[in-house]
Parts: sequence; C-alpha cells; structure tokens
Amino acid sequence: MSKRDLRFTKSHEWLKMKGNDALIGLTDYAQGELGDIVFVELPAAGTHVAAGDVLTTVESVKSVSEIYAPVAGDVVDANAALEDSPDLVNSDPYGEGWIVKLKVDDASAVDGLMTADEYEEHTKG
Amino acid sequence: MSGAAERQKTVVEPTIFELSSPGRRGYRFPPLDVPPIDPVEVFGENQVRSVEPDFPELTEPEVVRHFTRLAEMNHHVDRGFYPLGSCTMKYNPKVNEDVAQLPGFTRLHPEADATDSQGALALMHDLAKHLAAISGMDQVSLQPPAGASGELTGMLIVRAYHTDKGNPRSKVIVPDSAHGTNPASLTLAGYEAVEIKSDSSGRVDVDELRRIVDSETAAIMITNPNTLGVFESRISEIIEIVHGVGGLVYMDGANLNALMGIVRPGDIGFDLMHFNLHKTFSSPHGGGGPGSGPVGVTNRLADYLPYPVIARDEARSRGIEYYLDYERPKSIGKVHGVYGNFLVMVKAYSYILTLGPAGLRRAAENALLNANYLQHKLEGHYELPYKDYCQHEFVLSASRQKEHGVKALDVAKRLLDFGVHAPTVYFPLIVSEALMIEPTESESKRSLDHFISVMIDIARESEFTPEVVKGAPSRTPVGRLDEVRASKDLDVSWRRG
Amino acid sequence: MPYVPNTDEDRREMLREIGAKSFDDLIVGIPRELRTEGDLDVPGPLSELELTRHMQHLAAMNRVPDDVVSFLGGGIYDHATAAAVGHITGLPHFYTAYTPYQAEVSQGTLQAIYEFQSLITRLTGFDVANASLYDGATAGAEAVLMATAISRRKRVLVSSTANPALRSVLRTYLMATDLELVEIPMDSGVTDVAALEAKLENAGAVLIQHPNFFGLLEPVDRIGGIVRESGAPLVASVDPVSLALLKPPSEYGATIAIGEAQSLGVAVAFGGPLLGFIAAGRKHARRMPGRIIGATSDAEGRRGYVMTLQTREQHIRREKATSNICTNQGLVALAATVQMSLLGRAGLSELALQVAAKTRYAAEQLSLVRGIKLKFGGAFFREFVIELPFEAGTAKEALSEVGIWPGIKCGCYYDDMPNCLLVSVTERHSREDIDSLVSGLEAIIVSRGA
Repeated sequence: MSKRDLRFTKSHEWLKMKGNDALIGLTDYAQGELGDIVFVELPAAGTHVAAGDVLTTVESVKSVSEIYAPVAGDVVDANAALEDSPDLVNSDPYGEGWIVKLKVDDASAVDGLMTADEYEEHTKG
Repeated sequence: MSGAAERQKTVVEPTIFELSSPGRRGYRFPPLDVPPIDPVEVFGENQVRSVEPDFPELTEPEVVRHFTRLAEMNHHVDRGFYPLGSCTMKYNPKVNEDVAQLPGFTRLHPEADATDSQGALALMHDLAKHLAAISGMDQVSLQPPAGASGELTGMLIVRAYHTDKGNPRSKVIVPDSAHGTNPASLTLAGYEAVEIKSDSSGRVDVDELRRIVDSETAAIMITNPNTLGVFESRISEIIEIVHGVGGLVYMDGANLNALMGIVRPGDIGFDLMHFNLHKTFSSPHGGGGPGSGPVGVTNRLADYLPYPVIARDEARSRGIEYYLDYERPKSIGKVHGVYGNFLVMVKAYSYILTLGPAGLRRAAENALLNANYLQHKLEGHYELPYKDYCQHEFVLSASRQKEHGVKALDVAKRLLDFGVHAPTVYFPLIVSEALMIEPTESESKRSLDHFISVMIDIARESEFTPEVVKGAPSRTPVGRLDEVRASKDLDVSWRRG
Repeated sequence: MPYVPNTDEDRREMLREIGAKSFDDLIVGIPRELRTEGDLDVPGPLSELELTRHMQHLAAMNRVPDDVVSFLGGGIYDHATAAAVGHITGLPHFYTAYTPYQAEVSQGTLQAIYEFQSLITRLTGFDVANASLYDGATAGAEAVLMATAISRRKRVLVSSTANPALRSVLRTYLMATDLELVEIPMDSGVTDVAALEAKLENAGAVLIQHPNFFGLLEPVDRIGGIVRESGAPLVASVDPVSLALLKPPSEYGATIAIGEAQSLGVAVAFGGPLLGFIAAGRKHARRMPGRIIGATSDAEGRRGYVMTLQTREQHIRREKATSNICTNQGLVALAATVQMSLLGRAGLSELALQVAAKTRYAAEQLSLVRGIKLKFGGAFFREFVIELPFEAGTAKEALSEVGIWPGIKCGCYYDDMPNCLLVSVTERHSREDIDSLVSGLEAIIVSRGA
C-alpha cells in the first residue's frame, strides 16, 4: 500500500478512505517506538466516536497506548486477526495490522488530517 | 570464562510439582479424637468435589531444600546494595523481626476482647501518636495495608470532607513526576486527574498551578521531596494557592525518609499524607509485601478516618485504657478486613523506639549525605538533568551512554553482574533513560565507593565495549527473559506435560 | 546508632568531597522557616535489651490461645503452622528483597509466587490466579470492580451472609464510583435465593460467600444457575481449606473466585498481615487486578519467571486504572506456599476432614445442652451459630474468666441475633477443649436458671 493514499494524525494514527468507510491503524513510526505489541483491545461495532475520542488501546510489554479517532464516525468493524496476532501491528502496520474500520460521519473532515509528507515532518520535529 | 559458560553450571530449579512423588508427606496431624465424618453424607453429593486438588507430595527436607535453593537466586538487602529509587531499601533490623514473632502478637485473634488485647492496642495507639509527632499531623489511622491503599484512603477522606461541605468537587492535581499510583488512586476516589508540568528545576510550576486551580479543585497530591529527589522549595506558595480555592493538600510520604526531624509536613500546611512503614520505618519489603500505609490527617479531617479508631481512656472508666472506637458516623468506613498489617506496625514501632528523636534525624541526614555523595561522584560520568543538591535520592540519565547504543535498562542489567541491584529505571517519566538512585542511610562510605567504581566501569564499557553492557547480565542465574513471550503465551500456573 | 555506618569522620570527608561546608548546605533547598526546631517528640533511643523487654511486656498484656481455649474465627483462624514455614520466610533472601523488578536476580521470589498461583488455581479450578491481594475483604472489593468491568453494568448484589468485614470494605471501595450496592437478605442463614432472583435483572456482579459467614454451605448450584442466566458475573468468596472437600467455584458457575488464605500457614496476628487471593478463567486474565507472574525463557532457552501482563497494573495505567493494588503480600504468599507444599495432597484433605469432624462434634455436643440450640439447619464447615437463652455477651464474659472464649457475638454484626455466638473450630482443638466449652456453657446456663 502506498503511503500517499493515507492521512495521518499528530497522535500517530493513519487513516485510509474506502468509500465512506475508513481503515485506521497505528503508524510505522509509532509501532517502532512502542516495541513489541502484545495486545490490542478491539472495540465493539456500533460505537459512535467523535474526532479525538479514544477508539481503543494497544499494549506493549510495559506500556498502554491509546488510539484516538482521527475523525467522527461509527465503528463498523475491528481487525479480529489481531486477537491472536497483535504483532501484525509491528510487522505490517499499514496493511494486515489495521485496527478499526470506521463509517465516517463527514468525509470532508479527512481533508484536515496530515499528508504523508506533513507527518514525516511531524515525526522529525 | 564467558558469562554464558559460567551460567551453564547453574541448574534450573524444578517447580515444586515436578519434585513431587506420590505418597510422600511433609506434615503430620495428631490422630483424630472425635468421630470421623463422611463428606458426602455431611455436605451432600452435589457440594463435594470429585477430585482432590492436585497438590504436590513431598517430605519436609525436600520442601526446605527447594525453597532454600529458590532463596539463593534472589538479590536482597542483607546481601548487597539495593539503590532502588523511591523504594528506600534500608536495612531491616533483626530485633524487629524477633519481637514481631512474640506469641503475644502472632497468636492474638482480632476478635479478642479489648481487655485481652491491651498490649496490641497500646502499641497501635502509640505508633499512631509517634507517626503524628514525626509528621506534624494530628491523627493517624494505621489501617491501610500498603501505600496505594493509603493514597485511596486519603483521597476518599478528601472526598468525604468536600461532600460534607456541600460539593465533592471533581479534580485533583498531580505533578507529571508523580508515581503512577497517585492518578490511579484519585480516579478510584471519583476524581479526574489534572497533570501539572514540572519547571526546569524539576519542581511544580507554580505559575501554571495558579492558572489551573479553581473551585472544582479538590486537592493536590504532592510527593515531597519529589521523585526527582528535589524538595519543593515553593511548597508554602503551592499550599497557599490550593488552600486559596478551598482545596486540600495531600503529601505522598514515599520519600519521608528525607524529612525525619528536618521538616514536619503538618507544620508547613499539608492537610493529610500517607506513610510507608516498609520504606521509612524499616519493615522489610518481603519480596513485594506485606507493607503498611498509614494515613495522617489534621484535626479538621479526623472525623473521616477509617473506623475503628484506636482510642485511649486514661481514666479507664470502662476498666480498660485502650479500645476500638466504631462510633464514627462520618468515617469513610473500612479499607482493610481488620485493623491493617499489625505485625508490620510492630516492626515500625520497634524501629522508632530504637532510634529515638536524634536517631531518626541522623538517619535522614545520612540518607541525604549518601545520596549527595553518589550524585557528586557520578555526575561526571552520567548526565545529571537536575543539578541542585539532592535530598535522599537523585535521577541520572543514561543519555550519554545511549549515543553508544546503551540504554538505561542495559546499565541496570550490567549492575546485576557486579552483585549490585539496579536503580529504578525509566522513572520518573519526565527524564529520558532515567536511573533513579536512592542509597539510604544504611550504606557505608565503602559500599558507596564500590558502587561508584562499578558505575564508572559501566560508563567506560558503554563507550568501548557496549556489547558487553547490552548483553548483560551474564553472571545471574538466568539471562534476560523474554517478556513478549511471557505476555503472549500466558503460563501462570504449572501444568503437567 | 547501630544502623548508620557513617562515622563523624566519614561525614566530614564526604561533605568535603561534595564541596559542602556542613550538612546545612545540603538542605539549602528547604526554606529555613519550614525546618523543624528541636527534637521530635518520640521516645527512645532504646537498646536492644530495653526494647525487647518493653515489647515482651506489651505482648504479655495480650491473652492468646494456650492462655485460653479460643473458639474465635469469623474469617481468621488459628490453625497450626508447620515449623519449616517460619524458617523459610525467615530467610533474608526472601524477606529483605523487594518487588522482583529485576527478574534475573529475583527468580526465587518469582518462582515461589508462580507456585503459589499454581496452587490457588488447583484449589479454585480456574486457569489464572494472581500473586495475592491484601486480604479476603479487599480481594472481594477488587473482584467486584473486575466483574463490573467485564459486565459493564452498574448494580452490584452482595449476599448479607458474606463476611461483614468484606461487605464493609466493599462499601468503602464503591462509595466514590458509579456502582450501586444492593444487599440480598438471608433466609435461614443462607442467601435468600428468591430475593436474589428478583434483583438479578441487569445486575453487574453478584458476590456470595461459600461456606458463608455462619459456616453454612450456600445453595451454590441454584445460585450459580440463575446468576449465569442473568449474565452477571458471579464472584464466589471461598475458604481455601474447605476446597479440599468442596466443589471448586469454577464448577458451579462462578466467574471469579476470591478468598482469604490466612488459614494456610499464616498467623492470626491481630488480623494482619493477611492473604487475599483471586482466580478466574483465562479469558479474563487481562481484567485481573494486581501482579501476575508468568513463566518464559531466556535467550539460551533456560526457563525463568517474570512479572507479566504488567500493563493491567495501576502504576502503569495511572488514571485509567481500575484497581487499587500495586504490590502484593509477597512474604505471606510464600508462607502459604510452603505450608501447602508441606501439607500436600493428603495433608490438605486430612486438615479439612479434621476441621469438619471436630466442628460437627462440637455442634452435636452443644446442641445436647438444655437451653442451647443450633440457630440454623443445613450443612456447615468449620463454624456454626448457637443461640443461647440470654445475651451472648454475658456468656462470653463469664467463660472468659475461666479461660474459654466461646466465639464471636453475632449481635455485633447482625442486629437480630443478640443471643447468638459464632463458634469456630480448627484441628488445634482437642476433644477436651471442645468438651470444656460444652460444660462451661452448660454451667452458665444452669447458674442463670435459664
């Protein structure tokens, strides 16, 4: 997957639109900082979240990190594969390691997120 | 010989279950002198278990040898230096252990009448009084069984006080250098944590505090000296600001060892605090408990303390001097099933009496002296982010070593190879690659000098042979363990085959 | 000062090295006006000899079994502890060590706790147990927090036959949460199942004790059945000694088992330190409070133990934490582990059988006395309630004078039981001890003409 298709947040989530649905995951940079992911809590479908709300948490051996909703929407799905293989977030953060699928309330909100270049700049700073 | 080769000789101790052989027994009862029962007949078939619990079967020498072998794999205070920051790993005097084993204490049942437990009640009453004298608090409850429990108790008292005044309020302020139990405890007490940043000297940013307090501020929780080992020198202003909006000021007493005989929190305006008898007052840590976390309060909060309170009636109007007072309508209730960790109290009480007023002050002074001596000797070799004289502990950063790929964790693990326990690492969170060092007053200059030379050696190794440090420890019974595997393939109970 | 090695000469030299003129230089950060003037108002210093004498004096002011024959229980029991237990817990390797943060030099503590967890899972029938909690009462409160985190519902039902201390601590823990606490009344000394059923809708947790505070066996199959149907997690507070004989909580529908394990090798010690435990199914491991030890291996494949699932723990979760335990009762858990290892499979069963037989003998003999009746029917383990023809305190005081403590006054905890005593028996009681209780009570009843 090309990173050009993705949008990013300051809190290190990525988002990829597919119609009105958005896949959300943790960036490669963030997984590198966290180290081995040992658990991903999967949110229940149907939950509505506002932009900036806690979507779920991921755990490494000694830390818990929150995944925030980049935009508002309803949780429609979560990546069940992470139940047995949370390390997919490490090995394939932009692919098999996706975490939540969100039905986005307002697709235009996505335009407010960072581009790949902007995010790269952000992580350097 | 390489470390790994040295370790080859050590034998992994099997679990107690693997040592079991059918038919062996390690303990015998007197013959039953009443008619035996049949469980199925007495309890009913549907209540009785079908298979006995799969307990191991061993004789006494096998059991003793197993646990003695396990013991030998531990580092401990009696063996060597244990500079864990904020844990106050001081020496645990032997006489305290002995007196805590007196049958008059160990076999006393908590439901014994007050007439039959005057010795225990007197001890608890006086220990509370001594803790009050040391801290400047007015009343002390000994009930919380650990530090975190003391924090929860304190926060529930804060809540009860504000509720009594009409509004429980919603927020409690905690510095970013606080121990994680602080925000956890205030949350369980129904409050929202408001984090306040530290200023460049490592202290609470007083201007920021002024901005964030309001009528919803229930309290501030302050560790003083804080986890960076610095005294909050503007504490009077902090207290005034919080009192100014009607809030209370709570002291986390984890670092009280630095203050004994030097500063009494009650005198300078703290409203309540908890003590850690297992840190400041020398009761042993027991490999992680039992601790004891008494809570002290000023008079205006005394009504809210957990019940029962140990009360004294000098006139002995009911024939006894000490009794348990349950008539406390405003009390937050009980925080422990009984009165708290009594035997830990016995040890702390013995410690205070052994030291006396001058001894307590001398302990604090030497804790400070030892910490400053180490800080001074090590700052040329490791980054020291906060450079003032420290109190009883200080925080180094392994940031210079990180340039060679060596992290704080690696330094910690390498120390183990030299028979020294590691400092607290990666805490407080506001210092990167933190190494938090607390020597306590129990260490001699010789022991400190040994630690200094080992730390300097490790700094040198980090520069020239970093792989040795990164591969440490090599002389311990096991090498670094796979924590990812432990978390993923959860094995928390031994199973056959 | 016997515990501070630095001499005055050491101090001078160290201050010189630091570059400070005096100790006062080191505390320059403490404003002068905040410092304490003069000595602390505490006694001492005492020499070892003086201290020991003083402590012996205090200890002698307490009366303990051997001075008296005691039938006090109510959750804390005077069992015999094997001699080896104190010798192991007395090893400085265990008692002067800290929390096993550095696993490589803490394998002794870690493996011992792993074995403790393994023993608790064997007793309770669950897969996962933690490294211990402060006591049975706080374990109950923690289990309720855990259960409501699983169910995400707010109403907590607790049986009034559960230990009053546990219920009291539970009230404190829940007072600032949004959880609502409802007590379920009793019927003939056990949980009123109909009353429980009536309150079950949308309940977030149910807590029962089995055997309950009165020693009575609860109708656990019925309770487990209806609670399971309601979807609320069932928390069973259990007596580990009873589990040698009784069905483990995993088999009657409990989601979480908790209890007080003081009865396994730990002194009564005026009620502390005690030993709480908690166990549950594997799928709930991440919701369990406190420390958990897991087995793993090092790079060379050598088996070793670490603290695991640490992200559950409150010092890491900070304001997201849902429990209030940071440490455990390490040394107390070790004592219980050694005691359980010495008892072993046969010893544990024999202990439970002796307790059951002696309790039954005591109840039968007492019920033969004119004026005494057993308050409740139904099977019981280790304790039972008797009703006297007058206020129980009278009997307690009179018998105390002849060196017998007949039990706990139920009236302290239950308003409608002023004439009742909770009598508790362990393997320590000989037949003569029990007979002396029977004849003692009989004599008082006769003398009062009741």
